[in-house]
Amino acid sequence: MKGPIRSFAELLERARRSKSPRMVIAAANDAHSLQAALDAWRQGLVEPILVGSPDAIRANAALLGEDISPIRVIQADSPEIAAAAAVRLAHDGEAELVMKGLVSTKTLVRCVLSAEFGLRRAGIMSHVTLMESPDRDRLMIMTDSAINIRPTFHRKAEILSNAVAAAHKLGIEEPKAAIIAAVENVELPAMPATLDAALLKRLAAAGKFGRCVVDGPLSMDNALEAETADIKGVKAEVAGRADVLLVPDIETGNAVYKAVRHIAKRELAGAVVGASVPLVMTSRGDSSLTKLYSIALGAVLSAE
Amino acid sequence: MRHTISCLVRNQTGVIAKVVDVFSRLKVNINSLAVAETRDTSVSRMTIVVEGSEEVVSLAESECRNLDVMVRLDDLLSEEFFARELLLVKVRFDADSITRIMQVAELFKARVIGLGETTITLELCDDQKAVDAMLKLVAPLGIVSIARTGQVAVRMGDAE
Repeated sequence: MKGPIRSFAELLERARRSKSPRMVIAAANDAHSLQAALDAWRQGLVEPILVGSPDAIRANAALLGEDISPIRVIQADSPEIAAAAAVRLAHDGEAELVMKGLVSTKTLVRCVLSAEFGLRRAGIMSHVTLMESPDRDRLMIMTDSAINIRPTFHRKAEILSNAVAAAHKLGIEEPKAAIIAAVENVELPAMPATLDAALLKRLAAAGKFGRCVVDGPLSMDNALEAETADIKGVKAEVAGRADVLLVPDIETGNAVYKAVRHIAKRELAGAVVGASVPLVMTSRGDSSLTKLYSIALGAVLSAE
Repeated sequence: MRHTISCLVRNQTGVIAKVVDVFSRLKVNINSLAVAETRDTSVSRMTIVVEGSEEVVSLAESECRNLDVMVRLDDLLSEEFFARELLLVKVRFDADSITRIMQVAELFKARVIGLGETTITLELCDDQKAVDAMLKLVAPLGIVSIARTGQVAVRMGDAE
């Protein structure tokens, strides 16, 4: 065990020191994903494989002033073909990480779910966002802000399971997970998220998620700040020390993500987990650092 | 054959006994009986679900129509109607069965209205088939208690 990764700088360092995974970029013929992949390559995080129109890829590389001659380029004449080819490479063991380029999430996910050449495992796929704690003393996982819209209890259990596995990969031996709600008590039937939280806590206590501590329902302030939890009389091992924040639905997750980025002006990283290899899906709106950190996250998560 | 009988009766003492007595004398078992006031508080709606031969049930209905407390009686067998029943069921749970119980609740759109240390209470308002089906699925998990209101029904369309 290498110890927990406590900052984005440490995340980059961990990714650099690990064996660089081969990262296949589905439809790499746009400047934004190409730039991110090449930045990560230069920093020694990944070995990129570019799938798309070779002419467009080379033209973009020239515009960016990059020499991509050492990089493998695979021809694909449409985003759909590029997505399928990229996923098939990972399926065949020729890539350990998939990054979304100029192709829709829907198209890429459809390929990932393919029974013939996809990357499905037994559970569900979910998105993990990595963000700094308020005191910047550790990194926290927030899930799921991008894939599962309104997860049922069963899906929340799988999302939590994915997040705990990701935390383990980040070196957190016994992650503390807060199941986020608006209050600390089970409020029925008005707040079903509080029920799910209480039940997830019981599942965790019975060892259903492996090594971790789960508490909930917890409101965000109590999950993040021990002092606030003390003042409010909230007794929870997780209070103020959460490594994982499981939010009730995509609206909450999306709002938290955007608030961290645009109000707190903090960097983030994100990846889709639960498939046989991690998926990196950056957006044009992400900063170049967030894109780099997301690739580093994917690289660390892809390690055996 | 199962009949759902919707009656409007005077809201006064002894009405239920008078109606039940008719079915009792004719040896027709009442599966469920739900009674509550209507918009007009002097009148109650009684929904009776019985099972019996066409002939005997028809006779019972005819006798009920002659009761002085009866305002109106409709056998909904031949009509389209909305019918619902409310179920509250308390089920024992542990870490191995939580997910299964929640999946059943999600499948039937039942609400969880209570959570104890070892039990979970579900509420389902649906037709009788759905209520029966959900009970069948949770039964192997360990039912602690069941409360069913019996069926209530109204005719479809604009008729009263």
